[in-house]
Amino acid sequence: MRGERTYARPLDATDRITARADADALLIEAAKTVRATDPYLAGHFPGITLYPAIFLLDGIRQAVGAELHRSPVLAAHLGRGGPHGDWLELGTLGSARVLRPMLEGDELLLRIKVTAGPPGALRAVLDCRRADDTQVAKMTTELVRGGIA
Amino acid sequence: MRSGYGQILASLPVRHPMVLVDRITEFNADRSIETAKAVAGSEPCYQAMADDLPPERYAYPRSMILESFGQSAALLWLGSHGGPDAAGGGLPMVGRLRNCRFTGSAFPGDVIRHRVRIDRLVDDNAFMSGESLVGDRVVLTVGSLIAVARPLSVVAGGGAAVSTTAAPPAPRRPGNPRK
Repeated sequence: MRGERTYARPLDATDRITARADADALLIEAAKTVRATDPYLAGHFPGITLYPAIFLLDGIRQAVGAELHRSPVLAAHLGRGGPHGDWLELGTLGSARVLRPMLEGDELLLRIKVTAGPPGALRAVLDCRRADDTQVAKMTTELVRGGIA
Repeated sequence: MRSGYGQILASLPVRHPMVLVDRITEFNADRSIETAKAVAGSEPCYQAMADDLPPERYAYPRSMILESFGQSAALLWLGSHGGPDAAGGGLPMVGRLRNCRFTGSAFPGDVIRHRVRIDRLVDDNAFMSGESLVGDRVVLTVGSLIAVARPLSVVAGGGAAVSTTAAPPAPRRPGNPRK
């Protein structure tokens, strides 16, 4: 059976995405509901479905990859992509802090601000909150084109 | 004394398919650990891939490399004298990461080797660092990982009822692994 994914990922880390570009930034809001049926979550942990905070990094790269076409300036800064230009990789993780657990049923709102980073890289700043606006995690990372490094 | 994969399962509060460490290859309590993680094409991260993709598209997700490193750090901390057991128990979790840099990828068939060091143990926090390699190629450098221990009641949402039989297994010390 022919699949759909063009790069490996632990799970689909966003359920829906909205995005808009301004002069020098791409502003993304992505939502993800924690489900015990998602891949890998059955083992994290047995008895309690706890969303691995590390999967938020996949939320960042998947959302930015999917919406980068909205900002030709940032796409040009990142460099030319291949036939599937949505494949981004983590380059660096400047900082990541986990503030609250993310449990089954929680809807996570990923607010991501993307700006130009060093040549060939984008800087993405994540503010992740639950539906009740409680901040659960914050991260700053740089993204590069997949297959480059 | 447990050894091999059973030892890892007895120590880590995660289960299949989230167990991302396959073997402890070196262990020095309070100092360092080396572990191995074999990347397999049968992992869930490779499901639903399109046909006819070039090989580089099968790069193992870098978030998973970092998670595997974090589990290795947990094994080290759980086996140290100042680990979560000494700090009153609780689930070992990553509280903060800083200055991590990816410099390569891993693919199905590769073995990722993690080297983790304890830099400091302070109360119920452990400050660790290290790197991950494929062969002699460094693919990840972790500048700082701060591990914290959180009571199960806090993790479950502030006292929510959790079946003790369904709770994660109590962490145990890794001990001296078979080499």
